[in-house]
Amino acid sequence: MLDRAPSHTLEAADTAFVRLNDVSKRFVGRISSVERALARLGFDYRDQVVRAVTDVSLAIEKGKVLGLVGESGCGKSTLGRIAAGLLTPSAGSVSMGGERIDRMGTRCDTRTLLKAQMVFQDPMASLNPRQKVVDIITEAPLAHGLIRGADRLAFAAERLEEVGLAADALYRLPHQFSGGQRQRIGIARALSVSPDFLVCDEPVAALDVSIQAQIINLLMSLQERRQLTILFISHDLGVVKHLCDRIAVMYLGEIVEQADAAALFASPSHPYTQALLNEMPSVKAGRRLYQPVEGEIPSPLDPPPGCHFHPRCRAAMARCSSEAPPFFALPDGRRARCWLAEPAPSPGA
Amino acid sequence: MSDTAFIAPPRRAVRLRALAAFGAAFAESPAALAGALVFVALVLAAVFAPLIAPQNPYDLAKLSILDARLPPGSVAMSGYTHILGTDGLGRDLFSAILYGLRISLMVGALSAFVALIIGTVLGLTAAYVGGRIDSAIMRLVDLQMSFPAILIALILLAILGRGADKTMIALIAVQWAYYARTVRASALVEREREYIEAAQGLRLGHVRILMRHLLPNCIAPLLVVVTVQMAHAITLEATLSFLGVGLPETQPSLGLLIANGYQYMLGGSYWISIYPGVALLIVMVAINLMGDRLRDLFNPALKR
Ligand SMILES: Nc1ncnc2c1ncn2[C@@H]1O[C@H](COP(=O)(O)OP(=O)(O)OP(=O)(O)O)[C@@H](O)[C@H]1O
Ligand code: SF4
Ligand SMILES: [Mg+2]
Repeated sequence: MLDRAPSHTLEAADTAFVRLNDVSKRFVGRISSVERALARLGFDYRDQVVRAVTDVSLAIEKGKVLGLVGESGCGKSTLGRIAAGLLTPSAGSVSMGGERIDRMGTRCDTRTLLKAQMVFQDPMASLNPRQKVVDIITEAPLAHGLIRGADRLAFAAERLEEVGLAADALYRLPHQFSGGQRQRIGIARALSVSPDFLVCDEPVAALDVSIQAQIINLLMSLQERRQLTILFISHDLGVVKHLCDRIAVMYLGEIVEQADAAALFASPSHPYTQALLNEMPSVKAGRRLYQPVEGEIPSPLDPPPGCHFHPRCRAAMARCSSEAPPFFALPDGRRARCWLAEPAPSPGA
Repeated sequence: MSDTAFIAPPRRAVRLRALAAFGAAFAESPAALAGALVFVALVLAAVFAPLIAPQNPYDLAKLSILDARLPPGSVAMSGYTHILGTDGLGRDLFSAILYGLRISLMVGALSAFVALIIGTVLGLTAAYVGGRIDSAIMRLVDLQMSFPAILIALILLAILGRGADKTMIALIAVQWAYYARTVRASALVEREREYIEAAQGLRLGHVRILMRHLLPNCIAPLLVVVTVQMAHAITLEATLSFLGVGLPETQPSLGLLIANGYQYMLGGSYWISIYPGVALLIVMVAINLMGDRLRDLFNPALKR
């Protein structure tokens, strides 16, 4: 695997290709009319609001890879879907190459929307079991007039070759392939519309360890060849270490630290990142719910007050349980949402 | 590298093999196999009735009242042997049953098919669109299913009047909800799978996603409903015709044949009612045997 030289990117950089500005997503589970009536009578019923993503700003420069890590349920997939233009945020905006992609449907140009594609976690569920590989790969480019019907087979064979599959896979159905091969088909499908931006949502989490490296290598070489901008989601810091230029750490719907990959691994500033890194070597790849850090993950239905991490934080101070820390900018384009990162007050003040 | 090693046969063989495997699994139950064979034989008999039947029962000019109510095996004035006897008008009962079967099967299959299409479109739409449209469609389904089918059909026919087309409208009206409910249930599950999201990400049209992605993955359970509902439609049509509100007298279905023979029952001419009844029974049993097997195959958890 290739190691990348760190790049210095600031979230505010205007050169960024993909930008998420103050994106939030709430899922509201509405109560029934009966419960609403009971609530009027004083019973405790209210709409359940899951704050899956809160005020997230991210920027990815063209041709760079941003890693998004965090525990199960912290909102990574939700954020990834929003970034790929699959889910409309409750607030905030998403743009790619200067054009908004945050509304599904007619308000955005289809050609633009196609430039953001997603690779999914479950390679079986993400392929239509009744569609042959050739149709999986050519359906979208044909429907959008990107290729001609006559070129269909050649196009599909080319895409298969690009992801390391032989052309005799064309007429087979997804269930006839192994997990790794299916994920390659999923990648070929995403590439079929020549995207500039790829959101990879834990693309190797469901695969055997021996296959994981193959898929990651494939993604890396595709990224290089096609100059793809990638948002790579993972709960496993080990996976993102070699792949990403920059890393964002997510906790309970918020980004808590952002830094260049090398800097983050060398000296993590947020206690949560530190905890993740400390646990890293002992982590065995598995399909269980990933929870490396001690303590229970709080519910996004009812996040703790102050710093969301304070119930589990070893460095927690008194103010942490009441005051939520803002993002503090640190040297080298690093940012952390923790009181420990607060710059010391200047003596003159 | 194992990732790129392929050993599967080419496309057509794959499809045929899957079909053959399904056929073999189906035939593992002798009862289902027998049901399927009988059903195919009945369908062939119905389709080729004009070639098989010794007499055209609709050609009233050929009938002689002197041949009326001959018991099975009697020889008529013309010298022809009526193996199942004749009815009150002197019609050859065997021929009348073949033609009646033809009408019953046609009305049943056609109404089941139209109901299948209407129900599937509505069920898919409900699951895919969700929200108010879903609630509206499902309330309609609940409403339809909360009344007995026969009651709804009787009310509709009372309004519309008698006739083959009207009977089919009534049958469709009482059947579509079953398809809609079944399709919606499986579409709700399939909709959450990532391939639908992938299709949306590829910005494919909603109609295409519904027809090419959602529908093909919701078809299997429908097959069971189709068989059950077809049997249901045929019985219901027979009931309606027996009650005199279904198909017209001129082209009697099995139900009408039973009704017509009913008046001679006490007079001892049992065969005029019984034989069409037996034919109807055979149709029902054959379809239900197939339907049970299909249900077992598609829903292994329910195996008895
Ligand atoms: N469609 C939805 N409706 C309601 N709640 C949702 C929905 N999608 C996600 N959530 C909730 O939002 C939170 C974040 O979910 P998300 O899938 O984004 O987490 P994740 O970090 O991807 O987790 P995992 O590692 O398990 O994939 C969870 O609490 C989840 O229950
Ligand atoms: S703000 Fe306080 S509780 Fe939160 S991470 Fe920093 S030290 Fe821990
Ligand atoms: Mg996820």
